[in-house]
Amino acid sequence: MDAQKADMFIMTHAKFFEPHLIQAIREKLLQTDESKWMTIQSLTYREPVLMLIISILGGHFGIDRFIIGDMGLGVAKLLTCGGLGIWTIVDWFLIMERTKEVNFEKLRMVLG
Amino acid sequence: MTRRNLYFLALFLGLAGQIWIVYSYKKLERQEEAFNTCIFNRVTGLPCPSCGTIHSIVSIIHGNFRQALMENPLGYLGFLIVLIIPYWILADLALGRESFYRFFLLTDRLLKIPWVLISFLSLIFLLWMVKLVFFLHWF
Repeated sequence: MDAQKADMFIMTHAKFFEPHLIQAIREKLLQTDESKWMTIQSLTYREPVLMLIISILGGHFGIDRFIIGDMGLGVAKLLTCGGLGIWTIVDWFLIMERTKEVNFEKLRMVLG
Repeated sequence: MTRRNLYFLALFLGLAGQIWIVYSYKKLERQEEAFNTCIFNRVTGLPCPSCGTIHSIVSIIHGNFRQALMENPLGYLGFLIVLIIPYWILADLALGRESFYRFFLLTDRLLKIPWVLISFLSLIFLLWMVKLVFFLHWF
């Protein structure tokens, strides 16, 4: 893939990934075949800030965990009243990082 | 989630759950109300889907299965999870197996199937609605 496209992807999608992974993603994109460009562009990523808002509003029921795909933890959170309220608060600080991790895993599946 | 993180989290939650049950059991035996940790309940005054679980578990320990069902059917599930999981993990760690991790991944994959997730959440929602109707009817 040419550098221009890789840079464009990084510019538009930087907020979805952890800053220390950006360089690695760019290098991986440069090595990737041109034919995957459409697939990479059409992937939907979870917005970390939106997940934080969902976590504040619905974290008590584990909705944030369900949305990013941590089903087991979502169920655990739902059944324990949000981990007796403690887990809910802990997740306000962890959920953005976890969302970025999930986004990266999704991209890595496509990039191989 | 890595195996180590999962085992640490589940062991912590399981043991904390057991301590919480013993604490609530003693409190309820002395006819005192257990400490209310539910943020939703404190803010809205209404019970959340898992409110009443601890009362239900205490009723199960006393052998009042019918009352436990009335208080919250999820108490049965919670009681089983809290009772089994810490020992399952300890056995796994002692024997060097990873059966609990595989079980967790299987559950995770199963719940990612849309209709399984929807039916599970609908069931919990339905139980919650029944509880809310009873609650509003009584008070």
